[in-house]
Amino acid sequence: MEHTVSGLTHFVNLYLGHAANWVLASMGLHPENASQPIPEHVAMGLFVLIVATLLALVLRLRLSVEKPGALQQIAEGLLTNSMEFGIRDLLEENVGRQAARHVAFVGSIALFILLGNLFGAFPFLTAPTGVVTVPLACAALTFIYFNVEGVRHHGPLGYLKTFAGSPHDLGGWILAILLFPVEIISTCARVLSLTVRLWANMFASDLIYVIFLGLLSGGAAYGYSKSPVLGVILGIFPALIPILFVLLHIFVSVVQAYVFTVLPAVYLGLATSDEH
Amino acid sequence: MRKFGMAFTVLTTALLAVPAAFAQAAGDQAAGAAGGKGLAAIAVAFGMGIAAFGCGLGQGRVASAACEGMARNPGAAGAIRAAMILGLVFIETLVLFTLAMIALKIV
Repeated sequence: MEHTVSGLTHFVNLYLGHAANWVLASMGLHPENASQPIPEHVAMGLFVLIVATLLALVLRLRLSVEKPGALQQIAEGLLTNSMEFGIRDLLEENVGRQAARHVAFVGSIALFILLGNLFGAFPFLTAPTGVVTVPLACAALTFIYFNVEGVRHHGPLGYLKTFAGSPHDLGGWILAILLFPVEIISTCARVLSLTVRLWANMFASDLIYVIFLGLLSGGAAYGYSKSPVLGVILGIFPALIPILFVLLHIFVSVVQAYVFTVLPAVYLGLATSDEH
Repeated sequence: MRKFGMAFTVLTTALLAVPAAFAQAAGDQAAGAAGGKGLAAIAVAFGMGIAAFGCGLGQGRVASAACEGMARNPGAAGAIRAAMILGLVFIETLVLFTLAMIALKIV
């Protein structure tokens, strides 16, 4: 497949290319393309970070108790919501006490993923979450975080005991021999499932848009080769129908960001819960 | 939290280098002969078809149960809708695993 990069990546590589090459060379690694060492998803990820920081700074300047503006209401709605969709609501529902402590981490990842996914709907920008390493990074960080929180809550041995089902009596310990490997494997599989869910949704969303655009444009080009008027009439379809796929992409982006918020909240709740 | 911040920075810097290291990981080991490509295409079609079939059945049950629940208890519609979206996403993930395997191994 052809590999064209966006203007933003060229721009980033222009200024940070030498530094990136130096860092990679000092680690003994060689980039695919020496003139463009920073790949597109890294540049887009940095741009998401810049956009989110700018939005937060603008929000900070416009905070007001009496007359909240649109940006403040959106930010408050992301945090806590009358429909229980907000980040803090989900954490409170799943984690219980001390939910406020996790809002920073879970919220950061959720907002990064939301903005990163939505970037795919804009021209000249691509979704950083469409390359598998970015969702992998988010999933790996979540995995590390909920394990650290579990260890912090139960203590290291206590946390391992929760994997064995917190046995009290002999029957419990016998069951633990069966339960422990299953629990360990299923917990480690969470990284894979979080990664693949997010990546494949973004990748497939992109792919479906490109495929339909190609199919419809092929039809329009064939019509144009028969007669220009027919070509222009058939050209309405590749102009309008892909809009539906952009809308689908936006919907999928929001749903995937929501799921990537709910699941870490559930995992945190499971890791820090005191059951029986 | 500061240690976590430092760990995060180290991890991010390391992740900058990963794509370069994995340059040709899932390379082009596709069969050179046209027969191999043709069989692979048929396998892709069947694989995705079976996955989509199972997903359709499962998600249909989720949606129907959600509609029924919302019809019986309109007050709980919000909670039911949230559970429905979550259920749909989980089932869809399995189809996407299939797509990911196809993208890695065959395409």
